[in-house]
Amino acid sequence: MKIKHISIPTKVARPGMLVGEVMTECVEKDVPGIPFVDAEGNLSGRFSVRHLFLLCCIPQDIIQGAHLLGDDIEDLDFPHIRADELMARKVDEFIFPDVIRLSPNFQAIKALAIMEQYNTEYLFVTEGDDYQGVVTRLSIAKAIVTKVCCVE
Amino acid sequence: MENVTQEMWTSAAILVVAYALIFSEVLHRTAAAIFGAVVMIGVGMYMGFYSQRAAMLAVDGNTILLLAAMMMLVALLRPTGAFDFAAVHITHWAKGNPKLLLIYLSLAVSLISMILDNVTTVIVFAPLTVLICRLLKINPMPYLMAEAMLSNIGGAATLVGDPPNLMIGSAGDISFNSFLIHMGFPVMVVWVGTVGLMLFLFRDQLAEGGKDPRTLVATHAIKDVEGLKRILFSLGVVVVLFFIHHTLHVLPAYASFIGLTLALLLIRPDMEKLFGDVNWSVLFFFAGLFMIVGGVEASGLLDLLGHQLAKLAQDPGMLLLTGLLLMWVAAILSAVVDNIPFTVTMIPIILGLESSGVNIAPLWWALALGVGLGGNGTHIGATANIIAVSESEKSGMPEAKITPILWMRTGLPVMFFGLILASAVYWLFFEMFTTI
Repeated sequence: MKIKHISIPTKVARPGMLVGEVMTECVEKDVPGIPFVDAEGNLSGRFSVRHLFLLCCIPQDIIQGAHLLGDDIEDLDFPHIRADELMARKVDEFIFPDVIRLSPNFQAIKALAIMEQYNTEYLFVTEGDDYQGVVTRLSIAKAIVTKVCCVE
Repeated sequence: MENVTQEMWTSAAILVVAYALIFSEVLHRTAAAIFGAVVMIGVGMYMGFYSQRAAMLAVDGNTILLLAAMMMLVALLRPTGAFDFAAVHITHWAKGNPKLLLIYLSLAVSLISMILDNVTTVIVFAPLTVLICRLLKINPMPYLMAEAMLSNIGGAATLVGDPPNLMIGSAGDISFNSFLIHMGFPVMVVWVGTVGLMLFLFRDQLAEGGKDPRTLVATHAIKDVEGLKRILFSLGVVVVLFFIHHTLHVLPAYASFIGLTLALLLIRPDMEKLFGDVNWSVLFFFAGLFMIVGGVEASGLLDLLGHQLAKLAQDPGMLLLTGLLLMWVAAILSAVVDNIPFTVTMIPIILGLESSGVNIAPLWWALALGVGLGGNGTHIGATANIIAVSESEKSGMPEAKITPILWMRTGLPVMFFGLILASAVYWLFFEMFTTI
């Protein structure tokens, strides 16, 4: 099963775009992140929903002590969680420079192995500089369930 | 100065360059110590004052192995959730009272630091403290600073609480009990004084009452009950052995390895992971420093310095003054630079004084008090301080951020007040400090 058959085409994030626009694309396409293409047109980073939450919503102390939190914490006032303000911020400040690219002719098993190696849920499929889409664990699982895996 | 030989100048130059690299952080301190050790051995062999075998013998195995064993025991204790459990209960006992919370948290961190490494203690407690303060809607800054400073003070009370104490105890053949008896009293006085001073200095931040602490629950705090029982039993054995190691004629390192062996047999941990949790960088840093100072000692320079100092300390009337001077110099230097290199350098000098007929017992205690209390002066004075500062930044709360100036505004009064109290105890009970 080659990943070109199962990658999910998405828009890319560009300099100056708002977090809200990029988040909307991730939610609509059901992907954990999309690539960032800089002003020169190079794929130079990625926007990741998980890292956005880590940066803006969940302080490290909360992560470390999550198992100690009671049920009565609804009045926790995180200054970070101001959704409107966050969505209106520029995406540029939330871009991670590490990007793992796969060729469209890679086998899905290799994609899964690379996801394990880098502890990630998704990878970008590129042909040279041409971005083709995102491959996720779920997109591979979906291909298996819907028998797309038989397509060669 | 006519007695200073070329070998002495050379070894001193290597030591100064290595220490400059360590303090300036041009190189990582461990890399700088290894570099200094390799150069010292090479040059020493060429000039004939040092050898590879002498360098190996210069490394204090008791210190290195004791630290390694205690690191492994802490690595086994940490994932059980014991620290989380303690933090939640402390919060409940304080009932949202900010002043009580500061006293209880500081007391817990200080007591743990008396047996376990204080850096690890602060690494574990600092994020929990931020979480507690976030839930209680109070500023974590005073708590983070108090924990770091009081863990430094608590660690100074015992032979195993602080690496400099380990080195001093090992070099001076001082037992765990003797350390606790001699250092326990001054440290207790300094601890009480420091808590009082902090309650005063942070009176504005601690004025407002916190929220209901029931938002924290200990139900899931303990992750491995059986593992916790076993590691606590092993640690208990270690502590008992520390108290009687001199009677049994066993080194503290061997005592800690008996406890570690027990823990390994009872818990059967993943050894690869356990060894991965050991802070090898710190152990190699210490080994490198021992080799560097061993070279300077082999050149005869430290003996020469010792003879000069002996002229001052030989007069029993001047011994108290020498001790106080050593304590204050050690403290002030420890506030601005790493206290380990200073301690490692001072140990052979003090040992050298003994051969000149000086009673060196008061100097050991003065050195231990000085390096133990000096680290509180600045944010870079002790590793625990750096962890507290880093945690305050990670909290994302602007009011919690600890800047270097903010640290010094509290740290310097705490350091000097602690030194004044320790000096008073040292002076008033000097007779007690003249024995080991």
